[in-house]
Amino acid sequence: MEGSQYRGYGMILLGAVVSITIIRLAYVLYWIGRPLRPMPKHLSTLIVLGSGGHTAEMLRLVNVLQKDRFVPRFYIAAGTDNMSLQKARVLEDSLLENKGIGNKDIEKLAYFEQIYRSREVGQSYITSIYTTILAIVHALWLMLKFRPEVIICNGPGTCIPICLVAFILKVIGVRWSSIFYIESIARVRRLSLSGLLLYKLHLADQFYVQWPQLQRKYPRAHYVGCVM
Amino acid sequence: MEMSGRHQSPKTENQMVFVTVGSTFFDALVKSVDSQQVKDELRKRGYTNLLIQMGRGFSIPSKSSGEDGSLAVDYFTFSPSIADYMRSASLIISHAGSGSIFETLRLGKPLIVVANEDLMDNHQIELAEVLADKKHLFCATPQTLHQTIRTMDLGSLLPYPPGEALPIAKLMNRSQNRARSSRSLLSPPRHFCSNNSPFFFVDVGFTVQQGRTGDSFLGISFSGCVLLLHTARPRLWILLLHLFQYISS
Repeated sequence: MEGSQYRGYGMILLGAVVSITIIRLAYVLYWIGRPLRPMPKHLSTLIVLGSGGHTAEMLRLVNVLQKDRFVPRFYIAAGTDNMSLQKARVLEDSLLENKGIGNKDIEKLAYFEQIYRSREVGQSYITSIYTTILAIVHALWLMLKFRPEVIICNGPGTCIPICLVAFILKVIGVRWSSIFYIESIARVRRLSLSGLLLYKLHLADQFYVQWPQLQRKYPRAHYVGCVM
Repeated sequence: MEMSGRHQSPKTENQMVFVTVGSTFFDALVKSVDSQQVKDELRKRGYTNLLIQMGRGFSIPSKSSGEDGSLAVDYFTFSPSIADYMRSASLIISHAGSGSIFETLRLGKPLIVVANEDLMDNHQIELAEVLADKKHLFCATPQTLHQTIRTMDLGSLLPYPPGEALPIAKLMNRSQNRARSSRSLLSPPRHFCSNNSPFFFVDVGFTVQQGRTGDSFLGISFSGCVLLLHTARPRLWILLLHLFQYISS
């Protein structure tokens, strides 16, 4: 008798958890892409650097960003990619020089961090399951550490674990971070895999494309012209 | 074929062709450039030097000093000063990576992009094709490179207007600016909001409210979900919440 009673409670609890999760999920999906509260003066910003051309595009965007607002900035690049963070550092240094702030403050404005790559070029699929899990855990750790309000990414696979974790944190209410995704200029007719994932799953708050052909195909995207 | 004066300087000077394969390898391009066919066409066009950045590839081109009137050929794997080579070149033959393409276009150098057909997901060709349609560069494959060099008309190339990242920055700013009007409907007045406290980072609010009938409720808002619990001891809850706020801030 007692067992069945507990089972009844369990069912109620399960039902409650499931319905709360569903309500919360619907709520989060509804608010994605819509602006949040009256915005604070500073927005901590996470910038995911890809590699090569991706990094070049991203840094061009960072260059014209309203820099006193999107502060502090956290730069993340794949662990195998040393060039990107170096380039970001050069950019941040030049920003400081322009502003005439001493070297003391650079640690407050910009942080640089590397992240595990979920899949190397040519890696086998079985080991890539393991590395993907590792990448997600690492992304979770970094996201809990930084808790950014804005995430800007344009990149290859590196940004997927970050965006996934950001969405989960949104759902459980740890941090609401707006995700901005800029599709690479190299994508003219089709979205990249990461772009497609973020677009189809409604993970990105705003989705930018650089070619009008893409905008016609994916109407929720914003066409912004070429960045490069 | 008429040669344009815009890209062509007098023949006495060194006319360098710079080939770049980017950060990986592209043996098909290196082989194609090293072939006699392509070298002949380049020579006919008045180019005197050929410099190849070959990356991690296995196909090693044959060096030549070019003293017998043929093309002088040199190569290297990687170099930090690729931009300098690009600046001193009068024609650039590049892989289809967007970094190399836009670097060349910004320098205003004539460019032939050779698509790597061996890559699995070959999206890079899209960019080269669309820019070729707009007459900013020429597009070729390793097999057709010599034809492209023979038939290309450098005078038909248009300078590439640099893109602008400002529209994105503006859109991002605007989307972050507008106030969220209907949020007040969902979030109750907060006795305690933990949104920005460093200790307890869950975005959740607690409040104790009195209903119309005089009953008290403990409200827990979970940005969006509001849970109201009937409580018989509202004062105790308020005390606890203040205590909690004190600890966490």
